[in-house]
Amino acid sequence: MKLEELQRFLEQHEKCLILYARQWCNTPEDVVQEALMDLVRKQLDPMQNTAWVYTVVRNKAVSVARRSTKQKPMVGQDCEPWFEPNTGDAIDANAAQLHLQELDEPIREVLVLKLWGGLSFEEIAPLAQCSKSEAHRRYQQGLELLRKRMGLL
Amino acid sequence: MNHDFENKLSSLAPTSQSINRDALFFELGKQQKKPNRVAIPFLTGTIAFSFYYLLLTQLQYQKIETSSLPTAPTVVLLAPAKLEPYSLLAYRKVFETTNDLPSLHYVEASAQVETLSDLQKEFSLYHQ
Repeated sequence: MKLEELQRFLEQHEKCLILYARQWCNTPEDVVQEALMDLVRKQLDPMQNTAWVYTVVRNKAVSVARRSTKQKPMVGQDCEPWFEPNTGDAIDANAAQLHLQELDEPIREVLVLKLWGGLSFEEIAPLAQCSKSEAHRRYQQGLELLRKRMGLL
Repeated sequence: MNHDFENKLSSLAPTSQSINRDALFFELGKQQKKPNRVAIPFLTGTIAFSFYYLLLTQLQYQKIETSSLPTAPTVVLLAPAKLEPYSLLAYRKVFETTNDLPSLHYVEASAQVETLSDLQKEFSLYHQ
């Protein structure tokens, strides 16, 4: 693994990995750090193993959430902001977070991976433990629910 | 409509305190300094195979005992023939590499070595 490859991977995926881990635990940076350390120790090419990194992050985040009695698997109301404050005509960041949190976990997971991770449905399917078509269905359903709840229909 | 909504959603930038990149890059540097994990078993295998081959080769070649006494050194001929006569330097080289086997000396012999007297003659050449 080259330094440039790792830097490129971080530029592309670091924030989404943290957002992804945030779906389960309140220490997402630590979880992502550990997962990336694993990647480096195994000397895997990050760009070729994107889905692997997301899987490790998911497993670690779920594990952290289970270990901690204070943390709930579902993200609580007192968590950090998920998105930077919006600018211009973008969707309201707080509203987006609120309505994302209200979605069922399997649907929210697919939305996060697709919208902010840029993963294909083929890559999402094993992560979400469903078929490619089911991942696509969840994605469409999630978009519709968000649009309705945000009054953007 | 959906596409526009998707674009607006994905334009939201996730917030995060960055991870500790220095620690990550330090670990990367450490890993790159480690010996190649593939090369070591490969080299070990190659050396083991070479040793095994050498052992088989030795067994196939002529073995001549210089003395019937059990404590005396045994000479094993490694190579059947060479065009040039062996020098003392070559003999020493062979001897030194097998110095950890006091009762067994490996000597490369010329094509003329067939009997004990040939060998003794060979040794006398070495020791000139």
